[in-house]
Amino acid sequence: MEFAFASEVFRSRIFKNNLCTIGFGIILFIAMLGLLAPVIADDPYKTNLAERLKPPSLEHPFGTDQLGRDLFSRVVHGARTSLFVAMTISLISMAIGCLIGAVSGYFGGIIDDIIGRIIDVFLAIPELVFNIALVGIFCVAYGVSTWNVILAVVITNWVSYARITRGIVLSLKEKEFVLCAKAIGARDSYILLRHVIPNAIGPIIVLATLNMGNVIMTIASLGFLGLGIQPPTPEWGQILNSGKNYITTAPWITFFPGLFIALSVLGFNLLGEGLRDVLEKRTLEY
Amino acid sequence: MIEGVGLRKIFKSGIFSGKTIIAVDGVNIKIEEEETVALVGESGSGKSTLGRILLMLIRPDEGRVIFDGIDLTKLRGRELRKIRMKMQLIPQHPDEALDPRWRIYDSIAEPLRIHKLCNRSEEEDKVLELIRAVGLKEEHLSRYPYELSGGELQRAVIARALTLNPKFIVCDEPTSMLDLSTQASIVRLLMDLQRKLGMSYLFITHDLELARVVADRILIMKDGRLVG
Amino acid sequence: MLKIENLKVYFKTDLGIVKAVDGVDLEVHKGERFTLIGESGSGKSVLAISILRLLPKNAEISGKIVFNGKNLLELSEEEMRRIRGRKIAWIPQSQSSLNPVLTVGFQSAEPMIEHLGFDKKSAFAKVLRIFDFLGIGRNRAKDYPHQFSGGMRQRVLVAMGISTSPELIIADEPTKGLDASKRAQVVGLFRRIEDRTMLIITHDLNFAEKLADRIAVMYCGKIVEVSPAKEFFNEPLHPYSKGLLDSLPSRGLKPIRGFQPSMMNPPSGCRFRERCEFASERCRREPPLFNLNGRSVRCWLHD
Repeated sequence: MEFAFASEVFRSRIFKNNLCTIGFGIILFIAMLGLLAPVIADDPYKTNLAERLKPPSLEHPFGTDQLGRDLFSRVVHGARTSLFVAMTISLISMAIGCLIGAVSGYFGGIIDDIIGRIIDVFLAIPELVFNIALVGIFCVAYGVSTWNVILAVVITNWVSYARITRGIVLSLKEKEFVLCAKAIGARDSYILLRHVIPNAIGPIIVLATLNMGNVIMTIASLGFLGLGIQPPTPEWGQILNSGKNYITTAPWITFFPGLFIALSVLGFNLLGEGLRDVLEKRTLEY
Repeated sequence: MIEGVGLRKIFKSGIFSGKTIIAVDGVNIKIEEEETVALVGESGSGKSTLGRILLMLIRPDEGRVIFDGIDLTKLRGRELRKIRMKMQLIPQHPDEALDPRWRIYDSIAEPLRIHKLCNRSEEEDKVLELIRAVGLKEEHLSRYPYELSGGELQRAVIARALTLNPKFIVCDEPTSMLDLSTQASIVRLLMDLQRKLGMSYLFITHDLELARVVADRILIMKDGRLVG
Repeated sequence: MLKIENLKVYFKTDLGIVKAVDGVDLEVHKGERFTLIGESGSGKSVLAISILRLLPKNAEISGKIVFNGKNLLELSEEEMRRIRGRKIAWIPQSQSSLNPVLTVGFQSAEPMIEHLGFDKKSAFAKVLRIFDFLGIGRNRAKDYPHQFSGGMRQRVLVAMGISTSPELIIADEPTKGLDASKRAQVVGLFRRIEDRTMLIITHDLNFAEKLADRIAVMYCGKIVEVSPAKEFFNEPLHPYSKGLLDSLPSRGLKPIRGFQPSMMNPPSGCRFRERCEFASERCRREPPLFNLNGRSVRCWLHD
């Protein structure tokens, strides 16, 4: 695998790639809605029992829920919550996972054996079940908070970063430029920071993008099960849950948050796949 | 100048299977000042491992490496990194020998920066002097490795190996991935540089014909031992 | 047997058009070992792949490839499929061309079952005979590729290639990545396959010298010389052929000056003129292929 990192060539290629452009467009759209939520939407907490379960209209473009809250405001504010929480989780797990993976791959030996087994154990447990258990434990121990969700997902999520990084570092370590760096008298820490990690960044970016979709899905699942971010804070999974009793009479309550979950997952997957094509493409192939 | 005494290296693969390969098996080797010794052998004969042991990129299980009267196997960390300035490696795959994300200029200047040997303008003069010595042009400096051909890349790798004015260079099959006419020009370059700069080479190759042209002395390696 | 006329293969890439093969005329006679020599980027591998019509999609091909009176470029994909492996066999350079999850015996039998309608049993029996003949040993037919060394895998690829008794065998760099002693074995291996027409692509001059009947030299997308092997190694005609031979360690290790030109905009006229010690004003015009008693050369010196 060769990564062409001349950034000029690179940027033009990202937008030449249709997958990338569409995925990026979808994410940008949702992110803008989230960012501009206070401007374009009403207060998502304001109840109005006279206006409950109203279908979509000009006044309430997504309709209202069982407490008469404007669904558009809730979904758009939910975008803030979902994206923010998902990003926090991704960044923390990326930092932890990459560091552990890089150390494990570069130094090898007994460190690698131990970390490798830990990774295997984590991969053997179904992720969502593990998350539910962890959130449960944290709730009992520390009380209800958004940090429970973040911590629980990070604990299961860093593993995939560690595994990928370890693999990349193992193959990079064998490359002659790492050997040459050693031969000119560079320290291990220097080689790791200047040569190994920068060359591993491409595939890690791809993984992080694809992983964002997963994390959004996990957060929504936990929310739907009532274990995620707690009401009244608007969150897509939790809105889905509250709308499930009205699915025949007021389907819009479940439709719009569902649509947004699907769209954002699709967006990140498209962008991730596209980035993979771009990053892993050889510079001149014939 | 550099001498290996009773060198031995065993590679173990797998914790449980306990499979061992004796890569280098009791080798004594000595290379004098300004001498070129060719090390000829087939793949798997341990010739690359021996070259890397002499550079202390691989620690031998037994034996000593003596460079300028110092036993390198007794050195650690900082002292060893200092000695490394005096001995260099030119590896086999030119397309893998430079960091793909770095411009050629930075790769050639890197040894100077690591050892903090000079300021920016001195660094630039030194890099320019080096690329002229290996027959590259100034325009190559701002390029990335994938924009250079195999022969040009190997010249850049040689320039980088020369930055620290080494006394001893291990050339590990430096031309086996190159075309015939490029091989000739790279080998001629290495021979010219040696004459000008007075270095010693360990020239690893599987091509006996090539070894005859290049070397003062030929050593044949087979199954981890020197056989002639 | 095989006649190539004015063949051009151009690749469209992000950076421009790469003229990998640019007007090649060649003729391979029945029963000879024809060797195509060239350095990397000369277009020799592309030429070989285009005979089998296995080029990637961004390739534009024109000209004629006439095999036994039929122009291969005009055949349908289905007709072409019946020729590949049966009439024209391909021995790839990469030893990873074997499927790691199938036994080598089965893989060698497959072309016979597919093309010749052999049943499994008789195909396998023939594989055993070929394995014996090539020195692989019939007892190894049930082994998997990873149990073989590089040289042995090369033999298996040859076994696969010759199993259907093809009329033409194309071998792509059969000595690439092999040690000297293994190379000698490959020479022996190819010599055993008699009465078969072979097109061997290589950059290994020593190998070509030991094996070839006739030699063609390719430089920058063009054939610059075609000569009988003996005469070629005694007295090469084209300055590039001469330079190539002189850069052999045994013949003085003399480099050719300059670098190989870019395939995107090669020099006008003779493509070697910028590196040639005999270049003169007339070399700005493209030289035709001159014929000199059974040899041909693309150089004004032989006008």
